[in-house]
Amino acid sequence: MGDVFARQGLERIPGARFAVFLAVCVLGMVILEEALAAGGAVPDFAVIGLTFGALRWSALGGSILGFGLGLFRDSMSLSHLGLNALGMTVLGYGLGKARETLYLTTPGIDLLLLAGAKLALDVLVLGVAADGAWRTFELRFFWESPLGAVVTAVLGALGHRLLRRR
Amino acid sequence: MASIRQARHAEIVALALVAVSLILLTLPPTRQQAIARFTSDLLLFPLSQIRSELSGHWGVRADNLRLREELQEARLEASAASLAERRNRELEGLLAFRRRQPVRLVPARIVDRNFATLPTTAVLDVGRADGVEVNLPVVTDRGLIGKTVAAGRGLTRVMLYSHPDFSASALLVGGDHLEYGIVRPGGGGVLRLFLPLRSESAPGDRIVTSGYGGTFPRGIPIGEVAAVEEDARLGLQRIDRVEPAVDLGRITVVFVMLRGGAPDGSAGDRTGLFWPGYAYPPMTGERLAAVSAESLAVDSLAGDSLAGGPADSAAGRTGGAPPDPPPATE
Repeated sequence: MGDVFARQGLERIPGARFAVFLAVCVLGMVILEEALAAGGAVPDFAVIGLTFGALRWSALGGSILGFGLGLFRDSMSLSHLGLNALGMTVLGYGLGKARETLYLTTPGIDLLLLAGAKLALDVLVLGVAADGAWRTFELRFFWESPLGAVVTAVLGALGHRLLRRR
Repeated sequence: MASIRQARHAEIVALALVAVSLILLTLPPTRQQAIARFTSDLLLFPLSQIRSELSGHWGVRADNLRLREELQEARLEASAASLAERRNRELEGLLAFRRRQPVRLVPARIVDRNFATLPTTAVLDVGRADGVEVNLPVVTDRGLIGKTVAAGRGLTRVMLYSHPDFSASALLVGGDHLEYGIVRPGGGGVLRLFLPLRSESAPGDRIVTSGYGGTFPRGIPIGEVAAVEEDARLGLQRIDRVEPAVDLGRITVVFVMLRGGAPDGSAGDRTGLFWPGYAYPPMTGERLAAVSAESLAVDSLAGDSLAGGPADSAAGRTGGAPPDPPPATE
């Protein structure tokens, strides 16, 4: 399995460069998401960072990274503290676990994982945040989330491929 | 074995973090907000500063773009309004000008013109149905632009003063004297005033139609003397370059001056024409020398250009207006 990751290049990326990638994701989460939002499609930089972090550092690293990023995001919203932390911890763990079974050499797997992670996180976060207002949940999940997932997947895959380039 | 232990380790950590998350979620909202604010202040403050700076920058950029567009629109609107206002003022001026004239003026639009360096002919949207005939003066509120040379039912062709065949009997209004001569375009459409050799003229002297020649009544502004140029070749006459009163490139609305304004029904020497800022002296104020034999000789060589040529010119002059009466003693 280690060869698979070597082929993907995830583990061959120097730690410093990967740290820069994560820092860009955190900065993007704080600074760029609002600016890049268009017609309900909001790129999720936290999901991008978490996905590639979990794939690189496996379930343990993914869980910790997810919790950190989630808490970071929770502190920005002042409500439902722990919700993003919970969702992203689970997501990080799941992505880390999946890395050995799902992350194959398929070129499009980055996109699928990113989009899936975004949708999974939105189900949890929007579902809890809706607090029974299912109409709002439906509107946001079925309209904003798919667009956001696509944008996140494309942006994340592009960013990561740029990062892997020597 | 190590990987199983590692996996279990990961599960424990993940479960612990999930538990922490759930605890945080179940905290009362006030406590949640306090923690969130603390974390936010601790972690996000520097980033928030950057974000607010960037948001401000983007906001300013967006505002700048929006304001630029608004400014552009406002400029266009202001330009259109200014154009409409200027047009309105022009038309009001033309209307007032028309009302003050003792002769009938038919307003007309220029619907076509030849575009050489300087237009030499134009087509008006009036014709015989409006009472327009050939050999009628065409003017604006600034002065003479030409005369009609062909009149159809609804269209009229005008020979502009820049046309090579155009000529008009002219009166130069000096400081204390008058001079008679002929105005004709020279090379390149530049208007020239041909005067007898011993005439006096200076830049700035105004030139109006003299009333002789049969086509143009007395007093229509032609222009001003721009420069005095002696005829070095023959030394027989004095030639002045004329700055026309009307810029042919800018006119859109003109008037055709109909016959019948004067009591005798003739086109020439109709008194009482008024051009703003262009008062020409009464005929009794002329110096005898100005209407000298020399002056009349030049006038007889080429008067107002008529459709029929020089013969018509002479006929027009004799049949149109009589020469001025002898002036009163100065």
